[in-house]
Amino acid sequence: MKIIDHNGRLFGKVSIIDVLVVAVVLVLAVALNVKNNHLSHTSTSVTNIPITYQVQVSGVRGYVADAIRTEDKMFDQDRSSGGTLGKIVDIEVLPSAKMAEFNDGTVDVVPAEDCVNLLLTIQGEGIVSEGRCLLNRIYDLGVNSSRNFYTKYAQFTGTVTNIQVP
Amino acid sequence: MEQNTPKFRLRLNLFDGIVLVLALAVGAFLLWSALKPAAPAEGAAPSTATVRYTVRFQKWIEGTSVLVESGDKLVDNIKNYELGTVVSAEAVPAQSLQLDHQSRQYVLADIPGYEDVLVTVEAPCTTSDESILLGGGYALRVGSVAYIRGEGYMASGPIISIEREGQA
Repeated sequence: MKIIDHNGRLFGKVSIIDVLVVAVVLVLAVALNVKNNHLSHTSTSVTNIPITYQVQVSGVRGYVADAIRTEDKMFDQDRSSGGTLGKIVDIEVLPSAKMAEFNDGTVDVVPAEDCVNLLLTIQGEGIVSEGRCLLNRIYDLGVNSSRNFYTKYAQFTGTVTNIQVP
Repeated sequence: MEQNTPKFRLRLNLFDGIVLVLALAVGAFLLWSALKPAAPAEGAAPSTATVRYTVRFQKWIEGTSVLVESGDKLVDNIKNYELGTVVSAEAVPAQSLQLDHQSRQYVLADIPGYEDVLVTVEAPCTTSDESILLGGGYALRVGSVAYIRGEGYMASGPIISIEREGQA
């Protein structure tokens, strides 16, 4: 007995086209199920939680520090973030500390005129999935990651120093 | 002679029915997507306004700052965005952040023979929660370095302040 007969039917019973249609429908159904129920960052049953994190901005000039204010929304210049990374809720101004190399071969962190360090506390939303903090479900947040951030009024480079989830 | 034409009969088997239902469902979804009212966007919609900002033209040869006059039109030297009109210009000593090995700190040192120019500019803009756009595409932010073409001169330097809405 032929596997496919002259009418294109498998074992003379079911059309091969019909089998393909059923297979496609089944794959789509399984994919939809996995997306909605098994992948945490796309799941409709997982809700976002507040994520508070801190960003250190080092050796920034005074005019940049003046342009960063609480209630400003943060964004990332380079990475896809799904919108705002959160709102600045607190700004701590610290003495500036900039790395310097000296003639005697030493390296030190020294003060810089008209510069400050800022410690920004930001409140965002996202999920924690398999140990990863995902702001807006897609933006990977990790301590020690250095990113180019911006607000509506200023741009700067900062390093994530602390992440708190409830 | 009578012509024997076969009569058209619609015959659907189960799988044809499934395909038809799927096609109708996809069509209905696309129609719904096209006609449904747009979800309200997060934050305010972009609006047009006028912004006043200050840019520091750096390291000009001493005495050349007189070239910058109020009313000059400024243009982005890279992508030709219109950056606005000069409102005022003020020459200040050119400075550079240098490491002082003796006092072990960075200091702002004057650069002899050069001056910086603090140029205040007014420009129409499109403003949203995320950005202030000049000329339809230039994102204005403090800390970014602007490359500018004026009327008979070129300059570069950081944006050092932007007046916020409601700020005098």
